Amino acid sequence: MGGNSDVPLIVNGRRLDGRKMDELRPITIEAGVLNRATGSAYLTWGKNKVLAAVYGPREVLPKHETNLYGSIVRCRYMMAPFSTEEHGRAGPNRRSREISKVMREAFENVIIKEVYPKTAIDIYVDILEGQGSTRVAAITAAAVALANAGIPMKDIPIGISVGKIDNQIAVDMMREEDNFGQADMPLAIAPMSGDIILLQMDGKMTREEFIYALDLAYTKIGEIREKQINALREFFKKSSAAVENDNEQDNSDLNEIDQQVSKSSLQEPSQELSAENETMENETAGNENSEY
Amino acid sequence: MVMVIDELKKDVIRELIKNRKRDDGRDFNEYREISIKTNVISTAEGSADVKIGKSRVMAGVKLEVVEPFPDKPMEGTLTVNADLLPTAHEIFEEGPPNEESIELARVVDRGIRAAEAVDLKSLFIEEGKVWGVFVDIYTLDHDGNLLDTAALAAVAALHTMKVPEYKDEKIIRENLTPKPLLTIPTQCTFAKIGKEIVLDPTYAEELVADARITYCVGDNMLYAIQKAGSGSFSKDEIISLLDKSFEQRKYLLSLLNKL
Amino acid sequence: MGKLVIPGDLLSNKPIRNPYTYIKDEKTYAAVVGMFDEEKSKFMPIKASYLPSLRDNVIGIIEEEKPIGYGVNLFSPYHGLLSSKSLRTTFNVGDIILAEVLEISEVKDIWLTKPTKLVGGEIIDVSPTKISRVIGKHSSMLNVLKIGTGSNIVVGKNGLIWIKGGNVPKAIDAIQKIVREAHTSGLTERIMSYLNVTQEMLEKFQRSPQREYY
Repeated sequence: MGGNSDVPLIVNGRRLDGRKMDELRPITIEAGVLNRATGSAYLTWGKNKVLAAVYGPREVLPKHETNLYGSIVRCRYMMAPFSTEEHGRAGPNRRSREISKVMREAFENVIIKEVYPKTAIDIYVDILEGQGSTRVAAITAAAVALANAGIPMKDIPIGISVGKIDNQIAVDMMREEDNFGQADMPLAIAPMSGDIILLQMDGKMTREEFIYALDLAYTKIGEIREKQINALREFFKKSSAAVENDNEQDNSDLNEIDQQVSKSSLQEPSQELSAENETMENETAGNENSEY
Repeated sequence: MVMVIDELKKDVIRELIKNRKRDDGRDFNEYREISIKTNVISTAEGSADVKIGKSRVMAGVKLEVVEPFPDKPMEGTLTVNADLLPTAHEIFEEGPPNEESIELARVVDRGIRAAEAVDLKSLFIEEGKVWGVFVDIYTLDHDGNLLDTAALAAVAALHTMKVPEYKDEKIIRENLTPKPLLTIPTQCTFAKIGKEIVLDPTYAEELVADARITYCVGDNMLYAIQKAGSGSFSKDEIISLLDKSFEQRKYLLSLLNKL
Repeated sequence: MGKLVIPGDLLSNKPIRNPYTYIKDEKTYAAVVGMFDEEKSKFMPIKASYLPSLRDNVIGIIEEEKPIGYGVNLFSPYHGLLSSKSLRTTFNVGDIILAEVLEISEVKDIWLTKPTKLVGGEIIDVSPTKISRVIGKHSSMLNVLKIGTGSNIVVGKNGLIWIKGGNVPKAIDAIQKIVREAHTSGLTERIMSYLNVTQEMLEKFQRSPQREYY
């Protein structure tokens, strides 16, 4: 937080990139972009470029960190040396370690750890290009990567920042606003409960400004959530789509899949589906096949 | 002497808290006994030895002549470091700082910096030379809430800091000028145990806490917040705890103003 | 055949036990991304790691020789263990085996029994949540695959599938198709058509005794 700069951050009600106080920068999210990782997501948020990878649940190494009754969650947030205006040193630093800690704690809130005891869930987020509010972009991306990996979670968290620039409360701080604004507040919220799972603040805000900022953050989480859901939906469509040189019959299947994915109402289940699929009630019933 | 093992008290504490009671009989919004001693280290330009209950932290302030930061050439610099010493608790190991000590240092630094408590502009000496204020936080005894203990120690040490004279390229530490803080930030830490929230958690309470949150405030101003732990807070809780931090400020200021 | 659900989506107003869902206030919510068919109360996670159950048939690789027997890599978060007691054959590191889950210890070691070496062939890896589709009711889908490709196909509940003989690339292709379309209906018919397997052929195959060979 620089506090004061000579450059006005708001001109004619618009911010340096033309946004209004309550506007988010454009966000794109793509799920399942990496081959090796269990789950992954690539996110752009304004000029931020974030890559999140999730490995796990997997064996815990070093072994002494193992929790017999649940998974452990580990998180590494890192900014690439080429991600900032000035060349940064590679490797973790105090800032990235603090961010890794608060991110990990946010994910520990939503990950259901009891499902895979004695395992580790490793979250790696790399900021490839950093342009303000990277930690909330990182959380938003990692949340999608975790869902993409099939890690059991209560909810898919959303990251968002609010702040104060030129005495006005604004949402989604860009780099200049981070550096020269008067206050910066990154948050992560679990949308189903509305609970706050990450909260930091730095700067100067009155009580009224603080409450206004919190409320403003809440109004924007729906927009971000939609991007996360679309990323997961697109990945599903992509991994379920037939390949292009299939015969005509397969293309008609693609249409059927498309409809199923986009329809919110339910279709009539077929006999075959119920016969072949395990029901929820007897998920862990014995083998269906006993001979080879 | 009988040592009570905090790790074995977890269920006891949880039960007590559910019944709106605390192990040491305190109110949910009450600090343990606080003692602040300053000017305890003669080799330091500022120092404080602070106890909150059985937690104890010492802060030392050293001033050196340094180059200013390139973007703030007319201002002194402030650096806050913290060491969670093995002295304080067997859980703290020797070696490079772990994430908890990094967090503690950064949170305490954040509040003081955001408040612009130190008159950095008055620490300009000449072109290319400013006073660098180095605050080192040494945790000596850990019984919970090292954050507030450290913050009080840092603030008390800075508030009673004396700036040496710089003459003919030499630091003359015998000639000292007091440099009280422009504004005194106060910090409060709360722990959430189940659905209840308590101020100034003891170590045993921290062991059962799901989440923790720290506020650094001034007069009608919020300077910093840090939420920690895997638990969560509702929006209403966040706001109510801010208000509790403002309430506690009066008490904490009364202690600091006596220095 | 339902809709795509994400973690936190409500699946039922009743509490239902399932590793890929969670219960809050007596209601059941999805914990992973999956397809949910509300009428049939069927939830198919898109991707999830293998959770062992007793009597599961699994495929793994002998990874380690230990004093007690062998360590088996099941490509899952948990390790397989084969006790050398009551083993009639010995194995070497690198052997691929089919085995049955005998016991799951408290610390999630998966004790295996009835190991059979799988020699040659090729192994593919699919999400364990799709395996039941590859097998089908009374192994109907698996039989279609075998008939249509002439391959011997062994399916492990941990997501590993071993294929040998016949038209292996065709088998892999057909399995990939099943996995992609796992959430749809009419899949068995489509695969039968895809592999030119008729209903008669299927019934004949199911009537005749299956000879096991690896």
